[in-house]
Amino acid sequence: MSQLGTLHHFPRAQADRSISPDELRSAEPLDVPASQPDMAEIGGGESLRLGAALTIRSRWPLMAIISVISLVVAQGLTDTADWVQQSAHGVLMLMVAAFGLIRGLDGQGPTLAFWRGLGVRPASFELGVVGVDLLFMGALLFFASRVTDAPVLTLLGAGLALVAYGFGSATRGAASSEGGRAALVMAMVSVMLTGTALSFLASYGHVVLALLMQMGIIGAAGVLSRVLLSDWAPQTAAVRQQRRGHAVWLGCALSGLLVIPVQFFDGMPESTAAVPDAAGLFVPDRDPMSGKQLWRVGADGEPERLSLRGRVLFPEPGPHRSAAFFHKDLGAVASMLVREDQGREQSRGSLTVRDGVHFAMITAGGEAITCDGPLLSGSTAFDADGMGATRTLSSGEVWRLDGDGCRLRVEEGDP
Amino acid sequence: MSAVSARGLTLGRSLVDVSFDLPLGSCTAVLGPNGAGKSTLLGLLSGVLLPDQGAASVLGPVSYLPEGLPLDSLLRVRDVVSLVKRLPGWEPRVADPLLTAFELPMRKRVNALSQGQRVRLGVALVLGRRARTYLLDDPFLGLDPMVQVIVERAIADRAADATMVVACQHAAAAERLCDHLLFLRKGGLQWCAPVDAWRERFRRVRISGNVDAVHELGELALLVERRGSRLEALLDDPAGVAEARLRVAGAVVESLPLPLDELLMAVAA
Repeated sequence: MSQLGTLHHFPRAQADRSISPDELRSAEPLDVPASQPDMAEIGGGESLRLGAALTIRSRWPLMAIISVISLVVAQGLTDTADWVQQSAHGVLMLMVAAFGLIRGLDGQGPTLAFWRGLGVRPASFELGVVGVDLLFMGALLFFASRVTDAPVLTLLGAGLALVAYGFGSATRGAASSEGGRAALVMAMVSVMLTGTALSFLASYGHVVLALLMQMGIIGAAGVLSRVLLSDWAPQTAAVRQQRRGHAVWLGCALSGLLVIPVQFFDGMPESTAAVPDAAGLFVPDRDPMSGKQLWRVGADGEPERLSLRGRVLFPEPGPHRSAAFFHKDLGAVASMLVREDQGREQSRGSLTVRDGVHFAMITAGGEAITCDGPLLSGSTAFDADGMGATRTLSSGEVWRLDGDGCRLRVEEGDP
Repeated sequence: MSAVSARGLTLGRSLVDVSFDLPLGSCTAVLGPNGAGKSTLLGLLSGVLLPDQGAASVLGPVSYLPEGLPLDSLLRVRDVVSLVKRLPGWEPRVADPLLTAFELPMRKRVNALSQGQRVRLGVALVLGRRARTYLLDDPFLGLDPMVQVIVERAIADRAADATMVVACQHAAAAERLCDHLLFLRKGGLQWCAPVDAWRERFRRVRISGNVDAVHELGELALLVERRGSRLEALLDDPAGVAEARLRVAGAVVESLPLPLDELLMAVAA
């Protein structure tokens, strides 16, 4: 142990009953360097790298398990039945969200005391941790978007993952136990869903859009609060014997309510690339996710928004682009152009399982005309003026839909 | 010049209005009974804890060993060592012999280490980094005597060119290592001074002859015990007048060694 130097710095070293100062003194004198070779504080970059490296080294098993499961699940997304594909996609999204929640709730315990005690800068350290977590979630979502054909569900998954991570992060200063924090997460979910409902009711908005916006706001607020409050130490509250920590979680949850005025004042996009169809209804390209996506050219030539209440199926660009929606009063699908490939349509984002293709239309006056019950597989021919359509079912039945209503054609050529 | 200073440091009821200055290059033992506020004090000095009132300044860079070395349980020992090695100030010259001497199981997860192994790991990591101030919270916790000697040597080595603050329960080790003592009790600072000052103020004496002379001491006697026909007294005598009083009263006074742990027990009592 001669490398360990001597005790000559301690003239006060006292004799002891078990170990004498001589025993502590090494044979060789201490090699005190003339200059201090490296007395630099730990900088922000080093703290960031340490946070990232620590996350990877301590959480790589979790990341590996989720990655492997994702790969396995991805196999279910090709060449299988629709329900298998949908289930696999759902599982993939839920896994990303679960990872977000686990990592959001993780950390900020006494384990950080050691690193902070070495002089690591908390905010930079936390930024490194958050960076790795978000990067991994982003990679999973990117992977999901590559292997699946459901961008809306992927977007929802991203929102869910971010909000789960944000919720977990926002509760870091509120309770010492992870169980307590999980309870607060549930409270935050309640506040968020209340905000979504209020937003939808107040602005005729799209419930999915409102939810996505809230997820984005709350998730970002949670992550931001995690980094900004990284100086806050739960041990301090423990020493103070505080039963409650700070209420940042509530602030983050309430920040989601910002979506209400945003949606309420959201107006018509400045310009749209969409061309109104024959019925004067069109879908603005720049407003693809909005519930206010069905617009009509009014009598004065100005665009006006049709108030839609109900769950909107997302349209797809192309010759059959349309705004399909569940009409609230009738509970049926109304559509200018009904898509027949319902399986594909569902995988594009509808959260509703339909038994068959409902055939309906909305007139230039905004009136919805629907057929009773689903009209199963068949083909649809639209009138050139867009004011009517004929649907021929595979059973041979021919249905006519126009301004006079929906009816079974009894004689060919006779409406 | 002070390397560590505290002014009115307060955190809850754990530490109340604590003020002191520790000179550059000193080694200070923070002593006191359980719950006295030792860990809280070091946590506040390190910046891991935030005070309700008051402030502390510590000459940096600081290397702090928290009590029990709390670390992410999923990390392996080699991971922790590898991460700390990347930080500025890592000195293989000091750290490598310690890591070797401590015989740490590098492949084990941190949560699988015994208490003593955790402390060894923490000591190696904290002392392996060059810093101006070291804050060590109970670096002897759970160590066997052989390893404790190694740790004491390592602390002594580092203290040669740094300021050291060591909170511990081992008064004997504190006495061997440190030149300053800081005594806490119930969250309050009882005493902070060089060891010399302690020894000048507190003394153990054997009184024979006219043992009734002990009554002349009044409050200067912290503790008086009978040993056959003689008495042994622990004196709190900042002015150095007690022995003169005893002799004037006809007593024979003989100085006895006073181990620090006995003194602390008496002061705490």
